[in-house]
Amino acid sequence: MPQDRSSFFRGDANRRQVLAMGGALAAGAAGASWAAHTRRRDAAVFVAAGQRYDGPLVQTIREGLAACGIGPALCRGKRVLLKPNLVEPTRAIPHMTTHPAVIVAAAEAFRSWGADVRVGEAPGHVRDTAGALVESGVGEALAAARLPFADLNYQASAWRRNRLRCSSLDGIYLPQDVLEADLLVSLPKLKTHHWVGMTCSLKNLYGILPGLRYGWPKNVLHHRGIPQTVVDINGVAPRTIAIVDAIDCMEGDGPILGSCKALGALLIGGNPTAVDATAARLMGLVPERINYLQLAAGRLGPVVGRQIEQRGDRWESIAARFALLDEPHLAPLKALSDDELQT
Amino acid sequence: MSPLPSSPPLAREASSQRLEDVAARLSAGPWTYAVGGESCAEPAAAAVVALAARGSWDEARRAALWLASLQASDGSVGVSASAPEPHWPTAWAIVAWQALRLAPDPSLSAFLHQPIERAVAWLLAAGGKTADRSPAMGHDASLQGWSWAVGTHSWLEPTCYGVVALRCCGLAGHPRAREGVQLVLDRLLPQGGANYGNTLVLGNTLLPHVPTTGLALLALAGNRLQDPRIEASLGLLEQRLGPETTAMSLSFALLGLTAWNRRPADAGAWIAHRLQATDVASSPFQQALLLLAASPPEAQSRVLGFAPSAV
Repeated sequence: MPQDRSSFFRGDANRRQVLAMGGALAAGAAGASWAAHTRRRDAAVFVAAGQRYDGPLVQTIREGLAACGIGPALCRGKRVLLKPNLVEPTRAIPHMTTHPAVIVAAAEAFRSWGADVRVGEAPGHVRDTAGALVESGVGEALAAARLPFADLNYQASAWRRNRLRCSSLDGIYLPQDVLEADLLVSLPKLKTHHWVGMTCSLKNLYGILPGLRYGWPKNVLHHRGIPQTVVDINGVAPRTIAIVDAIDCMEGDGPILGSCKALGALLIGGNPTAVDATAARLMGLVPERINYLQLAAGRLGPVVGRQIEQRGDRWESIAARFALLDEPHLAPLKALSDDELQT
Repeated sequence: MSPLPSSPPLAREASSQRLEDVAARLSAGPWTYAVGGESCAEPAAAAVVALAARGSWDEARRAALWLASLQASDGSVGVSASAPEPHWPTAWAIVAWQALRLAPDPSLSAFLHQPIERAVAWLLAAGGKTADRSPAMGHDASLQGWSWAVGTHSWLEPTCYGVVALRCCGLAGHPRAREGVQLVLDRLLPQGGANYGNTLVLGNTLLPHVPTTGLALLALAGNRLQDPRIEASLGLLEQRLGPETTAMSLSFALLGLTAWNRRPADAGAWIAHRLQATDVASSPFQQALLLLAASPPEAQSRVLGFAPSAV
């Protein structure tokens, strides 16, 4: 990497300058293999502030991916599976699920780089996937964009050995479209979570497991431990990157009943653990205290701030404390001072 | 609810022809969730029940036979040939096999005596994990119903299937069936309707869902229950259903409403409209559910083992 990392973000470097550097990075990474990319322990997270659902999201996503070393050369001819969060959609709570505009924009970005793109989800709380697509508005958006949808709840699945063994699961069943994907793109909605503090790109992968095997909800996973199984699933998933819908987020009683928290941001990164750690910081949560991030640290990616390269806007510039339920198990997750977030 | 653009008589006529086509497809198999998938127990069972409700006994027998081929030595029925676990479709298989036993010609279902006996034995021995009541949860976790997978909690939907299966076998008075009914009632939301299983979590009431509300009402039918949440649940379904309701939600909701003598006048037109949707055209499972929901109330009563109830 030829650039001086510390100079990227010194002072008030504007996002365009940073993006230009990201483009150079992407070109440099063009020849990297997927496997080599996966072995990288450092990670970059791109934050784009000032985003709107009716804004130029395709451009922002392309720029963000490029800034994290993901470009056309890595995507051309590859099967890319976009995994939004459609856990329990209802028109009454649109900030619960990934916005259709973000899904379609991400698809367009990868399509423009020559990827074969589809969208897949196994909604965790509803068996009627067609209903979930209607309630979320995603079905209509996918039809308009001519994007195929894979209902992962009902697909045939194959067993994969649980490589990380954070939980007692011997193996994990993955559906066909996940197994065949060259690149999985976790497209979560940024939300608080009433059991584990927050849900973002790592926890979003609960939704790649087929309900036919794990139920509605996927209670097999709860019984083996939510933090442990979050990490185990990510450990068996194909190469995964993250694009987080943090434009309208959820705070309070997430992941279903919380209030809308407007943040106006997209987070993008090649390492979901780094992305989630950054997301936690900007929510005012200490990522090192979130159980599944503790487990993910070192196994899946970096959590400590100094190991995560910031690209685009600084997360500090958009940081906004997210309200959590007033519950004893959540209180320790909150940062009491900014220093606790600067690790 | 706004009427469909087409006139009711035309819609019903189209529906009749469409239902014939659907029945023919379900008779031939494969019984999948979607085109290109493998045949699975639940779609096959739904096809058997739907065809039996129409009196298409020979056609139902084929799917019932295939379903029997999935049965394991312990009596359970898994998801599919390639997914012998988990076993939650066992209850569905019992309902299907019992429906075929209603055929006027008993020789059609003679092969089912042992499979049903073994499946019921498995169902009565199986159950979800229980727990003490927790202040974090609104429901009574000490009640035992049925789970989606071994070693996990009892959830609303598999418990509804278990209750209906035992009821179809004349075992509505069995303690497991009675506890199942108690569980389903316990999981109704305070204002009516049912979530996928929880009621309140950390003090907040969860969202009602259409298909689980319909299934809960189907499971509760035939019981003398004085609970205002039942009327509230019926009202919720009546308010939410319409021509744009998706197939699974529409089907389960109509089954629940029919079991309580509250089948909407527009039900046939909604089913006809839904059968034209492209996602339904590619899903034998959804077609089977719609075909079952389209059958006359008395036929549903026979194959699902309920005496129509009233609040």
